[in-house]
Amino acid sequence: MVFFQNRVNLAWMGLVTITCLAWLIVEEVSAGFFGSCAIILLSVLKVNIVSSVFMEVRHAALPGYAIFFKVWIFLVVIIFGGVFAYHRGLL
Amino acid sequence: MVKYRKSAVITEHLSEEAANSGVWIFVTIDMIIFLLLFVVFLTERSNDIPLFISSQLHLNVTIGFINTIILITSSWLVASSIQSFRKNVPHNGIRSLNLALFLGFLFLLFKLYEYTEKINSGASIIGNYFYLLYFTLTFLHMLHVIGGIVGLFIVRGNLIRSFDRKALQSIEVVGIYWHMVDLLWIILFPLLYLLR
Repeated sequence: MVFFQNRVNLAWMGLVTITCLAWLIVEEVSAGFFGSCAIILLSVLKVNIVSSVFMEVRHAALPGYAIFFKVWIFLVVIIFGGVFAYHRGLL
Repeated sequence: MVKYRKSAVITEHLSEEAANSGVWIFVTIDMIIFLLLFVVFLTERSNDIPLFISSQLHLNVTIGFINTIILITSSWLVASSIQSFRKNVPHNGIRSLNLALFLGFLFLLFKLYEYTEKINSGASIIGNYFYLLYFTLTFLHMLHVIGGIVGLFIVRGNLIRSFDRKALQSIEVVGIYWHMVDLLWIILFPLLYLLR
């Protein structure tokens, strides 16, 4: 199947699956601290897929842009995770 | 009858011109601004968690979820469209681009429906920081979506008139912007609708 050999198509399927998974976590499993942490991680995974497969950031002229995206994702995890951990009394 | 020139250079990935394009600087600045807005949201949330959670429960998660799928799919269609142009199959590229544009409009329709629903239910930005930030963030993002639709529409026109290397570069550049719009929504959706 040609459709499944194309990484852009596979990325789209992965993104839709992860979005549905995040929805299921909120609706069926947990919307609390651990659910929120899982959703943050799933979201940054989606950001990574979009930036690497759709945006082709690694082909940008300056390698700094690819690094910027990784740093941006890292900061989202640190900021979101930090705030939620703080309120949970873990920090 | 549209006639395509078979002059486009077949490339595997981003053209040199798109790779050097100033759109990367724009995307970088925009993503920093949105990251700061996320910090503002989380800071304000920390000051009044009960208000933020109770207001958040009134949001229509189903519409947020549908809009996420819509933007992801639209982004995929733009990426597929670029692939088709690179392979010199412009008819497929235009078809994917048309569908991506349709989904962009659909996102706006759902967003406007959601705004109407919220305003009719008495949600006000006065005295409620959650709604103030919700409307600010989503409205800013919606302006980006409108900008992306305009960009895609212009590029579509250029591609129909003449499919050449320059037109291919222009869809690559607008595509980078459109993917950023998708990427920002990927964080906005959980931030506003899901995180408890």
